[in-house]
Amino acid sequence: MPNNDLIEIEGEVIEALPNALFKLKLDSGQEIIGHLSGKMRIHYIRVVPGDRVKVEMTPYDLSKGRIVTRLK
Amino acid sequence: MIQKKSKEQIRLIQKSGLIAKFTLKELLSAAKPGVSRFELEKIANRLIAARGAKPSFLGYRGYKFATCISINDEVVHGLPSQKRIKDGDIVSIDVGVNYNGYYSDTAATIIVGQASQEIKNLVSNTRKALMDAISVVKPGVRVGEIESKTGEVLRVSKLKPILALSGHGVGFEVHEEPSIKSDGEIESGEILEEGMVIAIEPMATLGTGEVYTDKDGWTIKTVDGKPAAHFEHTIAVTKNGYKMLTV
Repeated sequence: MPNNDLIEIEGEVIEALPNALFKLKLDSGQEIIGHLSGKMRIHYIRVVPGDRVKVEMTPYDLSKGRIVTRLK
Repeated sequence: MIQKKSKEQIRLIQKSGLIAKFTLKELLSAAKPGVSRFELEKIANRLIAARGAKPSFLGYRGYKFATCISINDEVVHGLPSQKRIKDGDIVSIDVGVNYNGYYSDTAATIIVGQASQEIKNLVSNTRKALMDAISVVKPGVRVGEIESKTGEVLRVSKLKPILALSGHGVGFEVHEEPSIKSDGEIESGEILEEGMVIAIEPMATLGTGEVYTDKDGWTIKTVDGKPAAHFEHTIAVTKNGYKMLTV
C-alpha cells in the first residue's frame, strides 16, 4: 500500500512576510513559516493575517509548510 | 533510522511475501468482467488466512479491508465495493500480508479484456519501471537512484509519475522509512545498506499525474480522469545486490 507522507493541518495566519511567506500558528500550537501554494498564486487568492488556512506539511521538516486552502 | 533486518528476519519476510505473491496471482486471474471488487476481497481474505497469516491492510490507519482494488482513474487505495469489473477496465490490486509480525506488500495492474495500445503501454511500461528500478538496488546506492531510474523509464514511455504517494520501507510494519517516490534526483535520499527491506511501487498515469482523494476518504484518483497503473514488489538489500521477496 503506497504511503502518503504529507500531513494536512489547519492553522491561523499570524503575519505576512515578503515573497508570499507567512508566519502561521497551527492548531497543534506550533509556529511555522508557510508558503503560498502555486495554485493559490495562479488564481490570485489572497491570504491576510487572521485567516484560517489548511497547511500541508512533510513529516521530515516540521518547521515549514505549504498553504493549500484559505478556509471560510 | 531505516531498520535493518537480519538474514533470518528477511527469510520470514519472504515467507510473508510468498503468501502475498500467491494471493495476488490468484486475484489477478480471478479479476474478470462481472466479478465484483468485494468478491476479490473475500478471496484474498480466505487465501491469506488459509496460510496462517493476516492481511496487513486490515485495520491499518482505519482501513477496513485486506486489499486495495483500484480501477481506471483510481490510482491506489480503491475500496473493495460491490461495483463490478467490466471489459476494458484497468484493474490494480494491492495486497499486504502480516505473517507472524513480518510484513510484505505487493501489487500489480492488469487489463481486463480489450484496451487501446496506449493503455497496454501504460501497464507494461509501469511494470518495466518497477523491474528496472529494482535492478539498481544494492548497498551503497541512494534511494534517489531508484527514484530517478523509475522516473526515467516512465519519461521515456511518455508517462507521468504520480508523486503524491510513495513506496516505503517495510518488514516490521506496513510503512517504514525511507520514502521512495516514482521519480527523483539521483544524488538524493538515504544510502541503502545490506539488511534493509523496501517496497518499491511506481505509480504512473497517461494524464498529468495530479491526484486527489475521493470523498470516501481513501481512494486516490487522477484529477484529469486518466487511467493509472501501479506495480509493487518487496525487496531486501543483500550484500551484493537485492533479493525479491514477493516473487
